[in-house]
Amino acid sequence: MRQFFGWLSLVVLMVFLVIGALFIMRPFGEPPSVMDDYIIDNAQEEAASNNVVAAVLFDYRGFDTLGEATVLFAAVTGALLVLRASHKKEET
Amino acid sequence: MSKIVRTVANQLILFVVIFGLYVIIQGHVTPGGGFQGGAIIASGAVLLIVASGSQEIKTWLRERRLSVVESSGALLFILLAFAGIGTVFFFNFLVGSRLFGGIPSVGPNPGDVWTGGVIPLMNLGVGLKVMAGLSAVVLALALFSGGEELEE
Amino acid sequence: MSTLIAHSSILIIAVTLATAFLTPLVGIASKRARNTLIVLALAFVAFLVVALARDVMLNQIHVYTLGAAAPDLTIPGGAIVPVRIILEVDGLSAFMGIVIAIVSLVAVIYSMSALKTETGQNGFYTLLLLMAAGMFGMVFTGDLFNLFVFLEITSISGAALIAFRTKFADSQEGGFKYIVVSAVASLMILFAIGLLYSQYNLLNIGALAATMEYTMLDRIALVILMSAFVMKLGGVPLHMWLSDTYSVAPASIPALLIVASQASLYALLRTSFTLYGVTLDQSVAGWIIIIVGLLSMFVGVTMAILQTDITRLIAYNCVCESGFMLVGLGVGLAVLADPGALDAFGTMAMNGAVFHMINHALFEGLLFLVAGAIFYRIGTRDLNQMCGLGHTMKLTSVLFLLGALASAGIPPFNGFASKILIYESVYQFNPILTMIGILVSILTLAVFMKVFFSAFTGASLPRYRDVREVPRPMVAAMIVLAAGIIFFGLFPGLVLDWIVQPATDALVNQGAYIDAIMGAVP
Repeated sequence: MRQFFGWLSLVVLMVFLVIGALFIMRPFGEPPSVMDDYIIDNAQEEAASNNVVAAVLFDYRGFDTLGEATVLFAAVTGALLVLRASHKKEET
Repeated sequence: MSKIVRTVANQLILFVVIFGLYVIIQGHVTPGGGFQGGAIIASGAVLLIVASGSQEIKTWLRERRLSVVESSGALLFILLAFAGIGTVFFFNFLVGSRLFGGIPSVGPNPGDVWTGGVIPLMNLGVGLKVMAGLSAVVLALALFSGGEELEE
Repeated sequence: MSTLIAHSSILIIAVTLATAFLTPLVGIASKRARNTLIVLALAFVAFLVVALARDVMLNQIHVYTLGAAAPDLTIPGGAIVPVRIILEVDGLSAFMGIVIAIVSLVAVIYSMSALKTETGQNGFYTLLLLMAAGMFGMVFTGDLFNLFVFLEITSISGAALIAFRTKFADSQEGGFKYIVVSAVASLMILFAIGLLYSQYNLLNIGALAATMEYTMLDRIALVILMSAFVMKLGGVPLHMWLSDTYSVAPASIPALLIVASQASLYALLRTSFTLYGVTLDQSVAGWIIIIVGLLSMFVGVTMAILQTDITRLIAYNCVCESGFMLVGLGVGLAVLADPGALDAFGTMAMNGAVFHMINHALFEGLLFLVAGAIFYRIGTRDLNQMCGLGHTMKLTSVLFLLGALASAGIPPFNGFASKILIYESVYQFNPILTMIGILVSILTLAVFMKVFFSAFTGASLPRYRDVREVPRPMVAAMIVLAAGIIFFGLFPGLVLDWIVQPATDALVNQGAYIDAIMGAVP
């Protein structure tokens, strides 16, 4: 019973935060974003790419893409490490 | 799986790979890119594993080799970023040069693969990385759930 | 040299990342080449960190705009806000960079002999480097989303490293716990970043701080960010994962995990001091941080008394020590708007807390390495199984005593230097806090005396007769940390002037952080 009320209060709190935040958020696209306009106007010239999304991914925010690729790299390395054979190991 | 499934899968894999490469190479012109194309090719690897079973796949494809390809893709990506350090790290130094150097006209235009500077090359690096990484994890999980001991 | 320093902030992150990508390739060819490569790369990175820190402390905030036409072109012509990702290194970032560089180098040297016989070393070192790169990225970036990305890198590689000893069920459980906690925290952070982005269409911390209006939505984002970072650093209501994960990781990893949780503390400070700063309701936020800190101190030390597992005990002591930092920083935040109080004791409290961060990394790191050395030789972490190890492992027992005394705040070690600053300044804010702090320190001493007497003194048991001192690289790694402890304890003024004071100034001076981004309009 205590556990149930604990979970309930957690859910209520989260719903309050998330739904509350959604209600007082500004409408989508308002106010007009200076950053977006700059990128849309200049991507073809600066990054020489017709696909503005690709320009953002690899030019304007390329470092984030490098980071996300590294997240995947870490996940794969970690999965292979955890699933590795353990029988060759000796006592430490 | 039955012989029909295996035969069809072996034929289909070619198309899957070609489609994935298309999505990777055209990433800077049309929707798509390295992540998406790499995931498509990795889905081809999943198709093969499901059709022929992990025991048969592991005779010619091991997760260790795949992780070498993955590291190379990641290295290609970061080296391309390093190459711009004459100006600034991640500078698009190939714009205007001979390699992928075309600059599209501003506004609507028919599009050209020979544009984008380092973006297509980075897409290639990320594509290699994602393809090898996802395939390696799927293969490792398939082998592991089959009770197989993985190599180091 | 000046070119190198201009690019140093990105080189620190990128060289570590590139080495991580190279490690599996080189490791297949030769183990020796791999180990040399890793040590050389980390030594180069440490050199760059020191050079960058010197430059930042002497001159001004270092900015680096990735992919722009020039490193200091933060806002492109034709725009009024930053568009690209900007790295921004001020005194606090440089300070954290020094901590990370020292601890990761020590951890690598220690692991090289401690894990010599284990399989999967290529993956281990790759992940260790990725974790170091992630922490460097977290403290150097000036972009909220970039902070999130590097936090993800740090937590995913950390979880895999905790689960490294796959033959023990509890280490797999520890890794799983860490990844669940990290995933929850990172999703909360991502949600908060989304809220801020929807509000201002900006991601740069300096630019956000300049336009912050402190509406209701911003308050919700603040609450989510603060609770997520407290969760990642192991403050008390959310500390449950910490002892289960630190205690099962291979010996050098907890030392890195401590630094990772301090990077989360750094993010908490960035959020409260720089991102919200003057708009914040300082005394409320400050008191919340103080209460979290007090709870951490008290629960940490009382739980530590009960433990019989040596690494779990040290892990609870970590919770306790991070409480000291939170109290010091909370006092500083509470009086941020009051220049008189800030001069009288606020700056001093923050100095103590920031100084305690590097001290904490040194002595807790040393204690974990010593616990790892004991485990390396006798294969158990249970205090009830240990007896009389001091007869054969003389150096290790001296090093343990050193770390324990530093942790309890006994002069002349570094823990004393930072704790006395916290006590003195917090006493002027609220005397009860200091009393609790001193009580907690005494209890810490009691905790470690229990460990010392049960593990190192007493009759030497027959089954531990042939236990020897650990191999030389492990001893060397421990001695580096011990030397740091003694040096910082003997010359606290030097350290305070050179690296701690600039870090505190950077925390207080929100305007300088904003101007480094927004003031550079060409």
